[in-house]
Amino acid sequence: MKAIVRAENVSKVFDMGKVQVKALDNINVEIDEGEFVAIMGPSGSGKTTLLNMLSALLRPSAGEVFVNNKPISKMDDDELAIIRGKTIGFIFQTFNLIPRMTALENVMLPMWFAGLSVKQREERAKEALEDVGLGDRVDHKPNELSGGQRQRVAIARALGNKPDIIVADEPTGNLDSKSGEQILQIIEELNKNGKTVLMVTHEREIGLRAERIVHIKDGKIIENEIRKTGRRSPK
Amino acid sequence: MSKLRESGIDLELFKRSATSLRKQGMRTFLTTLGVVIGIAAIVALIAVGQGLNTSVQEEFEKMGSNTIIVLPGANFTQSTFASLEENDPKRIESINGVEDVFSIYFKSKQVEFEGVKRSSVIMGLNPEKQEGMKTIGMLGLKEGRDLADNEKFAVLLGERFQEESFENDIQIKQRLLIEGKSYKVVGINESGGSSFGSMFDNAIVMPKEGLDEISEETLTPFRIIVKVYNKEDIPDVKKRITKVLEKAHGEEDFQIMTASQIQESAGAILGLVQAVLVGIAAISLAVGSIGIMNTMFMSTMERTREIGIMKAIGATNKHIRNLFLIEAGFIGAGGGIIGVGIGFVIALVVGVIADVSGFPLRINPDIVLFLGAVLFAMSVGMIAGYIPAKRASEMDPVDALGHD
Ligand SMILES: Nc1ncnc2c1ncn2[C@@H]1O[C@H](COP(=O)(O)OP(=O)(O)O)[C@@H](O)[C@H]1O
Ligand SMILES: [Mg+2]
Repeated sequence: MKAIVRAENVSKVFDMGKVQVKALDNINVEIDEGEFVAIMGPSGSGKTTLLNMLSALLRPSAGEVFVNNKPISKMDDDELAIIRGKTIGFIFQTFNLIPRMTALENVMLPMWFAGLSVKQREERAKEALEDVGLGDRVDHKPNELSGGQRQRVAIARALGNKPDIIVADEPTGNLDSKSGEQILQIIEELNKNGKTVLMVTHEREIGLRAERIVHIKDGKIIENEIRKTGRRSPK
Repeated sequence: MSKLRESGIDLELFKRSATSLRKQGMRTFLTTLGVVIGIAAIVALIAVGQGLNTSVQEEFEKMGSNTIIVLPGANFTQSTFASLEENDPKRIESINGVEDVFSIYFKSKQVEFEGVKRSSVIMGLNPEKQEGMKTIGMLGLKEGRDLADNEKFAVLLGERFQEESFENDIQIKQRLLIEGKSYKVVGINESGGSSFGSMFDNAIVMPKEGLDEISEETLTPFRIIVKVYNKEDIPDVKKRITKVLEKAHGEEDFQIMTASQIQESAGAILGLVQAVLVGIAAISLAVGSIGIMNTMFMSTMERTREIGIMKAIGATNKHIRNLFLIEAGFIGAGGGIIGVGIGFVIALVVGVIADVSGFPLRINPDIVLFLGAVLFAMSVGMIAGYIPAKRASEMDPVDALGHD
């Protein structure tokens, strides 16, 4: 099985001047192609830090993270940016859309960074928005959309560059249960269609939607819980 | 009204967007004020400078720029009392390099027209020289004819004298009374734009012999205008004239002016004005760039989260830097456009004031200047925005997103 992302003996220490916060402590984990993995743990346990590490937003203090088998710790800012743009699709708890831009423009943005032509950008962005059921909302600004709709725009944005993996940090954390459920269904659908998904949550109920749950506490992996197997078709 | 409300458009919406626009506009406007002033100063300066250059050049072209003026007195204060000598024109005529010599004589007399008397300037010249004087722009008839060779009781009038001296415009063939004698107006000399033209503009022009009779003396030249063959020879000819006249007079009781001297003094005045304006421009641009820098810093701080988002989804440092650089460039260019407008208006106003005060100054729109100024303002914006843009581009994406 091909590993999309892999952490080897990864630690992360945040230097806060007087105190040092050890957010991750010797983590070993691997996300394989086509998997749907949840990272679970209490607040402050290091979930977000681990997710950021595996998605090339942070460099490890020790150990190494491999994205598509490439070590990232020695890469410069721009190399990391390119990996994030092309390999990883981000979904955030707070949506993180750019308020001044329309849904379409938000979705087109990462494709612009990746160097796609305007025509390609527009085509793909419209398609992605239609896929998440927002074909009629392309010209709306984020503040004209509901929370659930905003998160769906964010999903469309994450898909634009056809990334190898979707990472989602508490994607339903700011949503009511009904729109949260919609989002989870979209994510499940993406995974069924072959997309690798890595999702952070502190709610067991949501974690159960994944086929594997990595439990983390105080920056350490305490359990690797396999839920479902056999669905994945080996490539 | 109800239809408007149904379609979701109400007054509050308009008010909100208006206030937000006004707020943003005000901030951007204040930011660009320095750039506006700086660019306005530069554009006004260059436009006026160009206009002045054109005017001075035109003046010299009319004058031929191949002329030398001799006037009495060692300096300007003396020139009113001192006089040249009767034979000076002859002395100059025989100097090597001199093509022609025109002497002008001057007297102030009471002149009567339609029963009203007025003190007026009368200029005397040699009628034979009228054609020659036309070649250097000293004379140019608007109406009528030249003075004939031995015509003692005929006069030309300067255009301004004709129009402004008496209640009614004086017409050709009408008569003026000077010292009890009747003189016929045969021609009107046009104002033109040349400094020589204006010499006769407010005067009566008559043959030198006639003026001698009125004055009851043989007048000495008030000005001697020397036309040279080659303008390259002017410095040499000037030296020769100085030598000849000094020898004849026994002292240097005269002044010699050349086109290049006039050009020099015009240049000196222009240089002073330029220095002041360059100073203003430099200071305002410095202040303006600090303003833009500050605005860009504020803008990057306000948009930290946005920067984090963009970096997370694949923006490189260069992408972020360029976004802010372009924004700074736009602010600069905006200020530049306003500055060009204001600067050109200032130049036009200066042109009008100069025109009214009798100095023709043509201000022409210059696309190259305008575009150049806007581009320059844009670069000022981008230079000022460089440091904030670079800082923004180097933000850590996770820090910028904030940990929630
Ligand atoms: N950028 C940061 N700077 C300093 N400390 C941080 C930073 N990010 C996270 N931490 C700390 O690391 C620990 C783990 O945080 P986080 O990964 O956000 O946990 P979780 O997502 O599980 O709530 C916490 O103690 C948090 O305060
Ligand atoms: Mg978290």
